[in-house]
Formats: sequence, structure tokens, C-alpha cells
Amino acid sequence: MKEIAGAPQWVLPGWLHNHWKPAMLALALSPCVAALVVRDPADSGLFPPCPFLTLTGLQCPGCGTLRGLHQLLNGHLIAALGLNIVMVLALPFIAYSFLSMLALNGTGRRLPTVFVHPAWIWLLLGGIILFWVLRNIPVYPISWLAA
Amino acid sequence: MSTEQQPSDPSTRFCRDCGERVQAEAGFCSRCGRAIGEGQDRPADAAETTTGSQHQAGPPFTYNPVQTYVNNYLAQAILVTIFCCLPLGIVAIVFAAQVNGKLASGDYAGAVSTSNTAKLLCWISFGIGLAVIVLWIGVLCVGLAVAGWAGG
Repeated sequence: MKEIAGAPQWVLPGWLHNHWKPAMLALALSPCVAALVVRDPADSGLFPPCPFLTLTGLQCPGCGTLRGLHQLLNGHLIAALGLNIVMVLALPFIAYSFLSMLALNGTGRRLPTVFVHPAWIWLLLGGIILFWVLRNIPVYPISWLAA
Repeated sequence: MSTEQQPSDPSTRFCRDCGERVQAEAGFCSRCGRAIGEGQDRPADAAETTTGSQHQAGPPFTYNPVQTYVNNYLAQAILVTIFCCLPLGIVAIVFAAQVNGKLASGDYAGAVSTSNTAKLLCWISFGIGLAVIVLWIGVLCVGLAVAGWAGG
């Protein structure tokens, strides 16, 4: 085959052509997920600490995400909720958004948009800020929110 | 012939999914919540565009059905928030809410501008998070090298 002048044209197979973004994402994430399944960030030095916690001594809304994911991947839902309830509750929405991205790439149509009304997002924002404050108060019932 | 279903106002649109009549400036259907724009029916215009080819030579359409979906990057904002990239993720959630608010009030240009800010904030948060991870891998490698040197 003669080479045509100019930039080479990379033609990917059909499936990969539509889904190269999620494919790259899955490729990059799979070793991280595999490491999270077998190693618990709570007692393994493999995973980075939270920079906000390191700098301020306070827990951020994301503290406990990796430990929670480890528990979730090993089937311990209650333990995961105790480490970061916001992460567990947000996962279905994240998964739905990922599916919507797949649908857009595959069929050219998004899945129906959810939580369209702005009040839902303001509610989420209030919830996250409340969670952020409450999990740093070391008093028994609400200390459950801390990671 | 029956004309009771025909809208008298040419700006009236209908939700493609549930058939609800929606305001011309609305960003989403008030009944089923679907973002307005993906194949919206405008009976008055639809009749015009199929009658001839004059629209090809005429001025470009000002009504673009695809334009009424604006990404608010909420999923990305939540991701950078829970994967601990400092409070920037929360600011991105504020902008996500503003995107939907502006869309609901018909401010398409404002929604696009806010959407771009939300996207930028998500990328900055992601970049900071990635930098922390790269730094951490560097620390691990140095730790391993020192341990290997001391042990060997």
C-alpha cells in the first residue's frame, strides 16, 4: 500500500472508534481497581493519603473513598457506608453518567437526563457541605460519618 | 377536519418523549424532566421546511435542536470531590447547579459559559489530584530505593 502524503490516517475498528474514550478509561482504571480489591488502603502504604487531611488535619468530603471502595468491592456495604456514605450514594449516579456516555458514543443519543431541576444539585451541595462539617465533629452518633 | 390539537402559537413546542406542551424558552420538560431539544416538534416550522429548498440558500436556522442540551459536568464534579481534590470539586458542583438553573430560565448562552467554567474547574481538580498521585508514586519509589540501598 502506498503511503499518502500528509498525516497518517489512523482508522480504528468500528467498536473502538466509537468507544475509545471509555476504553482508555477502563484500561487506566482496571489496575487501580484490581489493587483496591486485594489491598485495603486502611493498612497498606500503597495508596496516597488525602492532601486536605495532611495539610489541615480535617477530613474532607472525599476521605474514606478508597477504603470504602475496598469494602464495597469485597461486598461489605455497611462498612463502606460507615467510611464515606456520600461516595456510596453517589456511585449509582456516576455509573448512570458513564452508561450515558457509552450510549452517546454508541448510538449518538444520551440516556434521559436525570436530576434536571437545579434544586436537586443545590440539595446535593448542601448535603455534601453538611457532611463535611458533621464528620469533623467527634461526638458519638455523628462520628459515624467520619472515615 | 379536526384542528383542536393544532397549536395556535407558533412558538409552542412539545416534549418528544411524553408529548407535554412546553414553554418555548424552557430548558427541560416540566412533566418528564427530559432536556428539551432532541428532535423537538414545531409543527408550524416543520411544515415550512419540507415544502421547498429555499431554506438551503436562505439565512441559517436560528433554531438548533441540539443547542438546548448543555453538559453541567455534575458527575465529574462529584468524582473530583469524593476522590479528594480539595474544595475545588465543590465549587464545580455550584457551577453545575447554575448551568441547570440558567437552562431552565432559557439563558442558553449563560449556561454554556457556566458549563465551560465547570469543565475547567473539574480539569484543574483532576490535574491537582493527578499531581498528588504522581508525587506519591515518587515518594514510594524513593522510599523503596532508600530501603533497598540500606538493606543491600
